[in-house]
Amino acid sequence: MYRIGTKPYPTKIMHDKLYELILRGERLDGRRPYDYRTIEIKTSIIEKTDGSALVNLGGTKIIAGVKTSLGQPYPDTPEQGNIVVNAELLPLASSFFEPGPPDEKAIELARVVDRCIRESKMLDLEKIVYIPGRTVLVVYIDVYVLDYDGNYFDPAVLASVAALATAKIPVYEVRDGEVVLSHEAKTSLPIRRFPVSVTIGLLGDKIIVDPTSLEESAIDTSIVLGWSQEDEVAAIQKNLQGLISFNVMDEIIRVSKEKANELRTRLMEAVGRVGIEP
Amino acid sequence: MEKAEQRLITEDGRRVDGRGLDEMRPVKIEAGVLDRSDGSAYIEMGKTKIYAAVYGPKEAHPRHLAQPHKAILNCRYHMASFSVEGRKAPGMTRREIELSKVIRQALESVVILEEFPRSAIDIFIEVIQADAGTRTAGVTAASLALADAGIPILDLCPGIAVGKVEGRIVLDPSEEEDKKGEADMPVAMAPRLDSIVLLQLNGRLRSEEFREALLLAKKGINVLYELQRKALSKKFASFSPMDEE
Amino acid sequence: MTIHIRERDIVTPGQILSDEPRTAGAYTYVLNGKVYAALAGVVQLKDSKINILPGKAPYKPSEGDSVVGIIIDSKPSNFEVDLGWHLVGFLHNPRQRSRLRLQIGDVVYTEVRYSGIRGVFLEGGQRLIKIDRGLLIRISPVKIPRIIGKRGSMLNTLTSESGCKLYVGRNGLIAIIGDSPEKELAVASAIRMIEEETHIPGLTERVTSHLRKKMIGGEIVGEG
Repeated sequence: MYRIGTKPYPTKIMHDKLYELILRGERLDGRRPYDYRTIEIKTSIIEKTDGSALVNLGGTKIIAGVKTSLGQPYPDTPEQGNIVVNAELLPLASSFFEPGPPDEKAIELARVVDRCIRESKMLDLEKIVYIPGRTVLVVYIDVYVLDYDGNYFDPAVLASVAALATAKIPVYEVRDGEVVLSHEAKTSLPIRRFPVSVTIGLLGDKIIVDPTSLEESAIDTSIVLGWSQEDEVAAIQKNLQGLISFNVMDEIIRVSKEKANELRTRLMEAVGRVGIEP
Repeated sequence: MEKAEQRLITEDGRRVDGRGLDEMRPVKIEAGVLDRSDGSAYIEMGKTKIYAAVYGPKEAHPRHLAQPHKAILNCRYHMASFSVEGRKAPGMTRREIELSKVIRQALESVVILEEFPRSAIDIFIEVIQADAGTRTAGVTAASLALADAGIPILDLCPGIAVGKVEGRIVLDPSEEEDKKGEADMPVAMAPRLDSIVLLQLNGRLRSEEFREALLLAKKGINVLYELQRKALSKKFASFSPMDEE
Repeated sequence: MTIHIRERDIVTPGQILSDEPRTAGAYTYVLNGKVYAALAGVVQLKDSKINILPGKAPYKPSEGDSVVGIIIDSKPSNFEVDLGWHLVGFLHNPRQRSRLRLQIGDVVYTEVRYSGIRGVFLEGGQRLIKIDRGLLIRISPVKIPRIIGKRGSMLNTLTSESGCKLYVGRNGLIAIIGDSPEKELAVASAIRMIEEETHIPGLTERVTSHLRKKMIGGEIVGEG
């Protein structure tokens, strides 16, 4: 909400102020510690993709696009399709981001999104194999941060999953040992689950969820938990330096699980799914 | 059996998407769409969709690049991987680097750089869907973002492409017309100064066609200019100024 | 002499304002003897000048401006102060003369002593105040006059209603110091309201009732 200065200099008085508020169970923008900012999810916004989504989480805006093509499977998974995730922190999103090839933060974001999708077994990768060991579907997920006010992990996962869940891909068939495009109408990807991530910030043993950019400059550390379903964590990333007291881990798990279920409900409404398909 | 080649323009001057020769695609222009930046804009022209953001004036980095008497302008035109048919590999292509340069120089023609000595103004253009005319839509959005940031400029710079398709001069070519046509000519202007700030040509035109194309571009530019002005004025709809204390 | 616009007209960059170069005021430029708007904004005719009042514009320091800044670097002879805009202010190291001990990350309130070709120099003497607690917010510098109000009237309302002390910088940074976070946040939201409100009439009354409502409830209601 408040941008101080042109660069990410934390000021002592704001650090103290955020700390004081959080100790009292309050936050600068009026939220309680376990409140998310407003979430908006729009799908199918880029016609040239197979699937796309734009997610606004408060002042953070992220777009994800899904494209597919035929390719070779990885040698160690000959009977699975491929997922390739790329993320960029665009310099138009924040004065903290520099132009140039993806840096360690962008690569970390891509890999956390990848783990949320891959490890949760969101996609049934075995159903997108056409000739085992030779031809499979490659699913590219490209994530761009367009406007950044803290916490890019959660909207990036929401946008990627919403884009995948609403994607329409061409139907292929095997004819004379070759994979060819079928005349059938486009189909959906084989979706099994709806993973979501929850980003938690810590000040001492106090927990907040969905920190803003200003809060990120004041928190001691932060952890992202990707929940594949009701009671299963599929990805974890402690993404800042700093100490997490062992004692707060139980509360982190409890809060993130509860928030993940809320986010998933919101996500499934946005993609028009009321129940998880078998 | 060979199919008869599909014509892009009918006998009575209609294009494949139903437009007349001098008609542009539907346009949407908004100012102030990205909160973190100092100024921003969004444009849609048909399926072309572009964000532009301005940061600055800010300290020039590295400091030795700073000019003692004026600001320097940096510009990056970049396309999202999913913005095109197929998938563009991440990273800047030679085309993106060239377009960044011509767009920067178009904007340098109108920004009053002397207002901010020793500083830098960064302009970022992000194409999230490319469907012809991205550089001119990019200039249109970027100049609006500069105005939104409150950076003094001589004029806004709306831009549009004109093309030659099956021997006819057309406004705002579609991607198909751009690919199959004989010429594509992006133009951007400072309309109040009646001056050109960006001009490129890819293809061949006779001198008479070139003049016709320029005049047609100007027609489109005037329409875009009014839309830019509307997007800016919207913010002042019920503004009442207050005297200094 | 031809003036092409009227008071309170909304203009956009490149729009012609007059045929008389002497009428060129704030955010205008002169080309071939004519005056044009360089920014989008509302026209103000004042002292035979045409000024543009923009909604947003970068801060340009001038001598005598009160500013709030953040200490970002410490050099042998001076501190570098981020004013939130394109130029870094230099603060002559006041260590020898002053009771203040400044560190990187500190927030200070001071005055611009010189702004020109050599850079921006800030007052390091008695005028320099270190702000050691409170809430720091940033608004568009062109909206600062509204926060102060006519002869300081709006600023008076903000401070007297809330009991908070305010340091208002021309550069758009404002430090709010109160005896509770509720009061500081109430003032912050009142400032946002003044910044965004387009209708001036009755604004003082609305700010007063806004502050009372926010503080009596003891409840923090965000606008984010």
